[in-house]
Amino acid sequence: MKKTLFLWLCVGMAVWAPLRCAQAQQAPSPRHTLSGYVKDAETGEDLIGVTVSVPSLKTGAVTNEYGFYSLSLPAGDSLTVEFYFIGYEKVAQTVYMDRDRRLDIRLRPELLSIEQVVISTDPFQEQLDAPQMSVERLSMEEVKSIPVIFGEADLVKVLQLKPGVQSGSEGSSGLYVRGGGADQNLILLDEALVYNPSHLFGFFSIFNPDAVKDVTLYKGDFPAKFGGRLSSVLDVRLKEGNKQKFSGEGGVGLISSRLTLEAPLAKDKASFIVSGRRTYFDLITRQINKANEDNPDYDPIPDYYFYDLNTKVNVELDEKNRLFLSGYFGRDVFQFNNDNFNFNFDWGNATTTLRWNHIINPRLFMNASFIFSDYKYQIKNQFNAFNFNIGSGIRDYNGKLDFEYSPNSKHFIQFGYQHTYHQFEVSRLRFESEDGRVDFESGQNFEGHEMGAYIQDDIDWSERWRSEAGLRVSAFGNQGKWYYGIEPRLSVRWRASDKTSFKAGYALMNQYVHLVSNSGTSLPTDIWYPSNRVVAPQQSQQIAMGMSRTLAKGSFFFNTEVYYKWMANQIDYKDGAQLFFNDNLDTEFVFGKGWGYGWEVYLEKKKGRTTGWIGYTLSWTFRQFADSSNGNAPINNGKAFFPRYDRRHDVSVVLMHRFTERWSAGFNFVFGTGNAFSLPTGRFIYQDLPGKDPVVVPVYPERNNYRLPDYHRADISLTYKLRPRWGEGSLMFSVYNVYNRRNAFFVYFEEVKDPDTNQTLYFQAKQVTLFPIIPTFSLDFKF
Amino acid sequence: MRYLLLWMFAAIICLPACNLEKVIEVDLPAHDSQLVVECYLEHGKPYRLLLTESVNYFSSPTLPDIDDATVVITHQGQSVVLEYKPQLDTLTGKIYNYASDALVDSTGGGTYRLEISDTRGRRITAETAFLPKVPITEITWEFEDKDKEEKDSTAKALLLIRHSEDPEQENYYRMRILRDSAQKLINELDFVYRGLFATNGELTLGTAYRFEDKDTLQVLLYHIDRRFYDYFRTIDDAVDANGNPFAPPANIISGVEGGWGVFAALSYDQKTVVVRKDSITQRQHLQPLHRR
Repeated sequence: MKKTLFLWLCVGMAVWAPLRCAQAQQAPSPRHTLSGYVKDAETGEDLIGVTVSVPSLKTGAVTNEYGFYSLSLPAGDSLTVEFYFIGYEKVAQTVYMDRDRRLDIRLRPELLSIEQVVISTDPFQEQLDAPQMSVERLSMEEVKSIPVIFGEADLVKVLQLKPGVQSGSEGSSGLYVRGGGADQNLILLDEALVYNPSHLFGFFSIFNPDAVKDVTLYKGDFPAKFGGRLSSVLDVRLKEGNKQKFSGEGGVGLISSRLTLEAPLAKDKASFIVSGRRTYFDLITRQINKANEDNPDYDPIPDYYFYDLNTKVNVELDEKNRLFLSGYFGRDVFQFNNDNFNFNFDWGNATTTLRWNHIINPRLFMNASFIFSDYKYQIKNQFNAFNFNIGSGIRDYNGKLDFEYSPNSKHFIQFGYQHTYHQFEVSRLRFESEDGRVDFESGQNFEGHEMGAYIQDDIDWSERWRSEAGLRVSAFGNQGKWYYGIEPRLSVRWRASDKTSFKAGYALMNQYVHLVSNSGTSLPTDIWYPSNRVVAPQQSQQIAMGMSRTLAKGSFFFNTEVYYKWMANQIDYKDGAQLFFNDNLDTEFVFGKGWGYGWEVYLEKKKGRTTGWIGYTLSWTFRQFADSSNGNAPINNGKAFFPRYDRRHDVSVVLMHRFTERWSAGFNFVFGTGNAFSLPTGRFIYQDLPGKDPVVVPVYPERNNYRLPDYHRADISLTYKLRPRWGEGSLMFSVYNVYNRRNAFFVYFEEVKDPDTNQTLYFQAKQVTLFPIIPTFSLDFKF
Repeated sequence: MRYLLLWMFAAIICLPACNLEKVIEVDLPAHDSQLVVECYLEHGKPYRLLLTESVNYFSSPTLPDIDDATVVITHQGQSVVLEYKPQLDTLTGKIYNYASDALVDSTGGGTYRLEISDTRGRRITAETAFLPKVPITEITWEFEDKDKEEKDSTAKALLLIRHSEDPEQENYYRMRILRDSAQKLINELDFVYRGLFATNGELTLGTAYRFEDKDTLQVLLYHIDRRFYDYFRTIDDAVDANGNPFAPPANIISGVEGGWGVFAALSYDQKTVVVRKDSITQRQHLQPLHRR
């Protein structure tokens, strides 16, 4: 009780003290505040990350996630303020600071003709200037230009091309960041937590690129406003909808088609966006089934499809108040139905976010959000007179308050509070028959409360020194057991010159909700499980140091970082764990630790006809499950092992080139050390009871004891821009794996038998490749 | 579940990737060879077992015979020494290399202890006991065209098997269904399960529509211990993991100490049914058949 009270006291102080401080600052001062929103001139979309600079004072700010900025400037001066953002024309505006001023700016997208390929803004200044390190940002333009498998633009697959980010396995949209697991990523879609960000067993991410406005991935040095996951934060922001005119865009690809419509509800005041995507597998397989329905030996192909639906409405109530309501609904559906057997398996996420932006005063910005998030899978199986249903899920109700306060030009303070009420359904199973002779139910339900309060100050000490110091206090309660966490965050920047910065960062993270998986990849049936008396929260600490430098008059950006991360209370299943019909799943867990370290090098070019980047990562990742205190045997005999996604060397080269105004091309090359993989070293014969044939039993002495062959692949794309009267379009021809490299997806051992005698002749190893060369056409359009 | 996911995956993604396999050279580290034993005790049958060892995966496919071991089974203070006597049971096709002429007598109950040691200093120990036999109380079947237009020759039947279950006890079972075809028993189904999902003290198991009219089926219900259960299912997992990229790490939970293997006293109920479409009741009064 005392601990709970203490936590609430901390929470109250963290939120209230800066607020009081802010109010106190309202007294007259020799400085005034310039604030406002920065928007796209054509669509009215708020622009995130726009640099707002006052060159004469060498001071500036960046627009936040809602497009808002606030700058404290000396009173009485007439100042020139510059607004610049990659892909937009720079705007310079003179303001006379005789009082607090509101200045909303509209930036016009840069019309890049082939003769005018030099971007007028310096795209890398903010990256040099900010203390924040270990962060990757993507533009949707990049996402759509880079060739990917089946021509399906996928922001997660583009992020996998950045240093420190691994895919797990070929074609997968999993994110393995700096040695962390796929479940250790905080994935936010318009602030709503997404528990399963992929479709089709991880081959496609749920993010429809037409609906996405901004993508930021934090690999370390996490801002204090984020918590609850160990290894990364993927912050995806959706478009708000065109406030100027009705417009749309979409695409037709090999796997799916998509359509996005957006329009003003009241010009410049309110707008909506609706965006959908659906696959075609089932339409094709149904036709195949229909063509074979008279064939008695034909086994029909089950239906499979997935879809996503994004919607958003936003209203500017007045100059100080804005409301947003956004939602996401996506499902994968797999079904098979006939007279005697009906099988339906579906899984997916649903999220809703209601946000209220309020400008309390020019220096204090508030965002209040109410968020609903749900992920579940369910299998409904009706066979003869029996029904069999199984499912698991997690549902969150989340409220959060975030404040941004700019008391003066030296400080930028963020603080806030977040409370999430979790509901867990773990392996709910029901098995029943019509005659009532079978009526069985099992599974567990949990409820949990997760809280986090934070404060962070971005302090501009001098022209050379700048730091961000933050503290997050977190707590989690389930079944009467409470855990508390103090999570310090710190980053420091030292600017050696106009072109060079050195940075260092530290972050401690706690994760109270765990995705327990015993496979090498994320499956929809993996279970989210809360911390409780047996399962302690996972914890990670990461230190990172780096250097950033612009080269060739700002045309290139070079960044290098080293990191070390260590993780406590890692969870895995014990060998031979019982996952179904188990009402006490935590008896199947084994606890351990993990650690990883690495060196990342990154060179990027954003100016000119040719843009792109080269990334290299040298890294090591380890796991060790030696704790047998709960009676379960250690994993791998307690010895440390490499997880599957450990990759020693990882190289990616991404190039985009504009030949003419209409023709452009993309090129990727990736190289990676082969995944760690478990192979048996020995075998024995199990002859079993009479009536059974003997089987060869593989013996796996150690986990992930083998390396698959090195992986490499090149992809190319060629895009032709169409100029129809009704809008614009592009036709893309891409080739995945252009030199048809047979990369290993997995390796297995085969028993080769004499076809006549059925006697075993010998054993051999076979490598299976998943994707050969795959050419694809896709069409995108916009009006 | 994992089979289902693998099947779905194969159906959707792998089809275009057919024939994307190639033979490769894999340089495996040396394998630390361990003894492997399989010993099943049945009332009235001689003590006998198969003792082999695990070998490097790519070594010769011949059965690695161990001929220098000392094998003793002790029951109620009486020790039975199993001599090295390689033999083939022509009835079942199973081979054994250590045997005794003494017969297993389960009437006195108690624990049986197995001790094996070889000249390389390797040692296996294990214990087992005969568990109470759990009788199959009902077997029914139903053809897929019931209540519908008759498909005659193509319609297949499912089988429902029921037995009693005490929810207060932690019971483990192995269910086998063998089809009698031309004097040969063909394994149709074989799985292990825990006695968890009983309703009113009765447990029901079902099959898919897979049996044809007039099929003669042997249904065997073994009441097994936890060690046999874990060994059987983890062997299944290990076999499945070879070739399944989604399979979890597959370490075998051995049923014996000091090596791989199983030492199990077999208590089982066996019923034989003939699945008949023209059966009016579609049920058969179950007569206990002779024990094998």
